[in-house]
Amino acid sequence: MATNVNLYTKFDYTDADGNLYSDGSTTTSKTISVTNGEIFDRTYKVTNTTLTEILSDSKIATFDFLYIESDQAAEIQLVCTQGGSAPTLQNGWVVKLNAGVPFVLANDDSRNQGNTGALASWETAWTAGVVDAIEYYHSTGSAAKVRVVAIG
Amino acid sequence: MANINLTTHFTLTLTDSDDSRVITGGSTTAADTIAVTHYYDQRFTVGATTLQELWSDSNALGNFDFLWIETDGDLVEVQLLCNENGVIGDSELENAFCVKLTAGIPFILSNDDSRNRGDMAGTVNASNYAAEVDTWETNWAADTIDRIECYNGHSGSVNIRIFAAT
Repeated sequence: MATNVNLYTKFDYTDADGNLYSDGSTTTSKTISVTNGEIFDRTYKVTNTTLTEILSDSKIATFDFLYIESDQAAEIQLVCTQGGSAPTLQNGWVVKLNAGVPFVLANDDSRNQGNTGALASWETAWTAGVVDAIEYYHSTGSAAKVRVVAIG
Repeated sequence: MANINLTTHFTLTLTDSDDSRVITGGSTTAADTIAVTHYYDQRFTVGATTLQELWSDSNALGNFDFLWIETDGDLVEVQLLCNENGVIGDSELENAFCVKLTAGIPFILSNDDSRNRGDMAGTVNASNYAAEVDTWETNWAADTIDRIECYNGHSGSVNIRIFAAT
């Protein structure tokens, strides 16, 4: 069941002198070809200070498109090669989400830290891997709702 | 101070044997807004198998509240580096991650906030490393992205635009 995701993204900004900066389009989509036709689409309700796994290999093995939107400011951690040790040392990273602003990835490709974790020579020392797990955390306020769409 | 208007929308139409349905998110008409004053806009041409720094906090723009990176090549990766040169002794060990770009599809962040790896329980070893990946919400410290590099794994040159604003 091969199919495509149509993605529209655009920004525009007009500075104090009236210069317009813009990119993308709201009418012409970018097409992302989906490999397997598998879909994970779920909205979680997460209370504050509760660490919640919102995506993992057990939910969908791989993804070609990822869309995460939270109604509150929050953080997500992306983990590449979860549980990996040298020479495929796992890696993790935190992205802060603004409320209502989606976070989008067009694939799950990343790199684990290889043997040494050398950050400065990542283009040779790190090894290709994929995002295996994503956790969600918000520290204050009422329960948040976060939607996760992964298509692979 | 003016706003960046950002729109994001996706659709996926599924056709099964007996019906079809559309999965969708976001909007093409309702924009999210991010207030900014200063900006950095640069286009690079990056040669084959070449590493290129796209942005660092040593530029005129020391931080960002909006980031847009787009390339016309498929085999392009970016490395995001949080707290460059941070060390365990100061409880702010640097951290980094790699994202692979797809040609024509922008990578967008709505701020530069991330986390460094803290003090790694005082010692970098496999046990502490793994444990603190799992307990990031308490053991990693709030910090920001300091530098962004890209690597072009393509056999020819690619063009990359980075627009950052704060």
